[in-house]
Amino acid sequence: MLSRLMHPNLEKSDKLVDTKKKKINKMIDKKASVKDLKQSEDNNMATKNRADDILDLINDFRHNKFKSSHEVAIKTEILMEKLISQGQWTTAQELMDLIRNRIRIFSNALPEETTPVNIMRHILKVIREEYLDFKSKVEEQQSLQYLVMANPEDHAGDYTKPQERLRSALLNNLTEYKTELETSVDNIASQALEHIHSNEIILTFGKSNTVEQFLKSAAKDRQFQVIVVEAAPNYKGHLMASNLAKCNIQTTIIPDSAVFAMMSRVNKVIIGTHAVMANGGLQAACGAHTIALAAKHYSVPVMVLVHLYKLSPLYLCSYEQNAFSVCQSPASVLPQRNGPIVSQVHVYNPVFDYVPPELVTIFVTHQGGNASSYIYRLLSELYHPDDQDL
Amino acid sequence: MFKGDSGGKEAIQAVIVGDHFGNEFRPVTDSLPFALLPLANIPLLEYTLEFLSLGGVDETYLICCNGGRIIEDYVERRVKNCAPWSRSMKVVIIMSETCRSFGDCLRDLDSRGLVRGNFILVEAGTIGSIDLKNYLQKHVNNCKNDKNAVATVLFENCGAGNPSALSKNEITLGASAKNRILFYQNKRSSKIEIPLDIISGNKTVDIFHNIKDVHVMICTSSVLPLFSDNFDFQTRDDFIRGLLMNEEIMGSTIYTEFIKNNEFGVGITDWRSYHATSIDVMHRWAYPMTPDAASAGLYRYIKNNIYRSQDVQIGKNVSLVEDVVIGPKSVVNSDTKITKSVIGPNVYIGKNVKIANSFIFNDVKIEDNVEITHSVIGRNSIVHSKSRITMGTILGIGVIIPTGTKLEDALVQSHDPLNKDPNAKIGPVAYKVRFDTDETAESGKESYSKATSRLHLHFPDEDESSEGDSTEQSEDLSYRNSPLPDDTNMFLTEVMDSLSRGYEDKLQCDNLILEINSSRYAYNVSLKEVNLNVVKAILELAFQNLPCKQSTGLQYWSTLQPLLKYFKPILNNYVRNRDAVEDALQAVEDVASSNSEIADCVVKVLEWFYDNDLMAEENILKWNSGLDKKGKLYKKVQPFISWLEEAEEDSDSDEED
Repeated sequence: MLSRLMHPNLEKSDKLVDTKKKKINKMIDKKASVKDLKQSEDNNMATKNRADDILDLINDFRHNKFKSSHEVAIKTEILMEKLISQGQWTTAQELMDLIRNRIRIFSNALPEETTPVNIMRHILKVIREEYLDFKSKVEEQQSLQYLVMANPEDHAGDYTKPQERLRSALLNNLTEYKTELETSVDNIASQALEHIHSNEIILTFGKSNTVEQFLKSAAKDRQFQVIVVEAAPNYKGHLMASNLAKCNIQTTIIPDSAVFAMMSRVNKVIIGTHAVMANGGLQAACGAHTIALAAKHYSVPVMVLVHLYKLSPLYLCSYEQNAFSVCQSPASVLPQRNGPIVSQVHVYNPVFDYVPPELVTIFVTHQGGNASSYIYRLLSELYHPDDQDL
Repeated sequence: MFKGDSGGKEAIQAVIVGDHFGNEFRPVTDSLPFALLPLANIPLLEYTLEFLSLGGVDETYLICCNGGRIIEDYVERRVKNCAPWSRSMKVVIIMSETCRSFGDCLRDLDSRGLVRGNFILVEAGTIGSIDLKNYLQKHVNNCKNDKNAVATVLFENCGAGNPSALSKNEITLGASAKNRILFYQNKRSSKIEIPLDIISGNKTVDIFHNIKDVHVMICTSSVLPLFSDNFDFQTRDDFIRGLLMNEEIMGSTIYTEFIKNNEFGVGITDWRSYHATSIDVMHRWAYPMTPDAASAGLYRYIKNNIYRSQDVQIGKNVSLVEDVVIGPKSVVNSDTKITKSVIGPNVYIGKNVKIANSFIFNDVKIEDNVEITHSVIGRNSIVHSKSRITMGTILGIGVIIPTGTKLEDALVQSHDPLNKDPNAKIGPVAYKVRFDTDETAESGKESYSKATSRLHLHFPDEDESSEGDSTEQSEDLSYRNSPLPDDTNMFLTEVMDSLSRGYEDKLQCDNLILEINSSRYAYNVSLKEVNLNVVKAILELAFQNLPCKQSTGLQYWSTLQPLLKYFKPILNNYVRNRDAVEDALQAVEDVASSNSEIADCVVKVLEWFYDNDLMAEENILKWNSGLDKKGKLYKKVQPFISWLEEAEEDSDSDEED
């Protein structure tokens, strides 16, 4: 009886519990849906703010916050690291889209700055490799038959499979890459003794952090003389010369116009560059072409110190290319106080020169010296062919 | 008050007064706020915001008056589209639609109490590339050194005749060695009057004339209350002038800084400066604010400063000469020639059109065989074929010009101005209008100032303005050449009159002295000048008494000698002390340098003075040492001097004996 009596109660209570559970479930569902809403809002915010990091980078460029390309490289790498560790992505494909989007935004805003784009492009290749690496590991466990039967092209362009360990693997890879970036200057500088010999006269142009470190490192063991070309109208060579002179290097500063006259006495030209084009031509500070031509005339070797992140897979198509002809304000060439003539003349103050590859004798990267004809090989190591055109 | 010196931590604030408050840009600004007036196809406000952002400003207050809603919408849209300036700068919009002047805006801002520390004050239409942080620091230093400093005004040294500076106004500025502004004049005139106390009260005063106002003023927080206290301050010029005039009462000082050679700044105040700045922007002075850089790959920069949008259709045989911007989706048909002009987006230009020095805004249609020079075509306008629009014509918004119309120096709007002037109607949607601008009311007679106020910009051959200048200059010269009716000169002739009369009538010398003394007081001449002029008068009187005009030194001397003898009492009276002797010698020198006769017998004159004990030898020797060694006079005097020196030695040796 009791049991009987109990039973309906139990049933009742069960029912109650059920209804309660249902209610709670509903509640939870509601909460969940609220959460979802919030999440989707967050997602929306995320999509809105998605490219904020790159816009900040562009802003820093516009405000002239970077003193060297090295700083730019490190900053871009940190940006990428953050994107990979905190970004909203699940598959390699999504991550690559995020990065591609950033590349597009950046190269639209600052077409002449190639370093961040190069780094992002390189990271695209790293992602591809890591993904395929994982994939092949998974597929190894499957039967040999599957491997034989499977058409490799089916999966070549497919990066949509989510992989849990991809994130951590990428981050490990990036840390390695970061150390490579950080040590690049020192690595190049450590090769100085192979290139600079005693009592040589070396000509350099404007200000380059890498060249400065290179010369300083050589000066520890050898005596040599440096001629710095002042690089009008910014006169960055002045700073370079004073920095070198502080390290007890015998330094002479000359105006740009004296380059040809001095070249006959020079043993080597060592310059830095803003970027290296796909054919090995340089996008270097304005005035570099004159120096390279003078060096050619006197058969003086031209050495270009370059970090790998400066190698760009782009070609120079025409001198009117947006990415190439950046003309600054004429103010530093012909100041306003010159009166009415100022508005009647066209003053061009270009920032970059194109130096054709045949004028460059050797590129010194942190891996060693390479001829300009070898640049294409380095490029294929750095970037995936599918990422050249974005 | 001086929070700025705590370094970069303090947010740098800026204030933009977002309107122009004038009729200058009407009818184009009838429905388009001045701040959004496109310059090289980019709204003015965009340049100003970018300029402030790149200059290091963290927070900007934008005061909107006319068309405030449109400006607000624009700013919001730009922030949403991630405009470059929006990353590092916050823009706060203040609606003050009741404000009617620059001063009103600042008074309104003061009442809101938003700005606390130093701030940078600019106008919509201020364009530049200036490192504002640097000048803010200088301003803070000025404030430290001078507790009364309230503002630092930036100027650019731009050389004479720079077209950007050639607006209606020309600035003349006087500043002390420490860059304090002592004198400020902002008007075009051939004469500049600088108060004497500015020169006498300061050790050094630099007067600047070839300068351009960059329309940037760095202010302390006390500037806004100053505007509130003085409700007659309408413009920034009022403020500067008012503070300078009432310096003692208000106790506020203003400083000036000149921007560096590699920086650039300009403020747009009229069509003239609008035109000049457009050219400057195309010449990349405002870098990085250039059409190609500002619009992220929309424009391509080609040689001869041509900015071509990627999707422009250009027909056969079109020549883009130089300084041209062509906006996206525009069509230019064959045989058209465009130079020094800006073509807006979505503009259709027909065949064989000539456009020079003109500004075509967006969505305009120009038919075949039209000629447009020195003109502005407002948006949505249509110019039918074979029209000629020249000489500073400004078309408003949505105007339709009928076929074959010729327009010169006219303002045209699309709706009837309601004054029922039958001549005003050009077509069904085109009416001529007139706006009384402030300066025509002030100087209506000067057609010149009116002419330069519009778009007459003949840069290479400034025919109009140079003509005006030259006539002004020639007037000046004639004015300068006419002898000055100076008191001293009047006194000299008076003295000569009385002396010659006295000599002829044999009057008593004592009476003559009385006469000279009374005329001295009449003409308010100093004692020094009396001495000088009396001796001069006697020496020159001899010329009047010469028998013939062609005379030699001897003849002169023979006429002078009796005169000197006769006037000796007068000379004794005036040439009394050492200073007076110096004056007398100066007089001899003056007369001798202008007349060869006395130069021949100057030795005799001096000897006479010496013999009559009017001059001592040390006076003469001192005077001699001050003479021009290469001059004729010096050579003539030498025999006498050497004789004097010998005599001195003799007397010395005599004394020794």
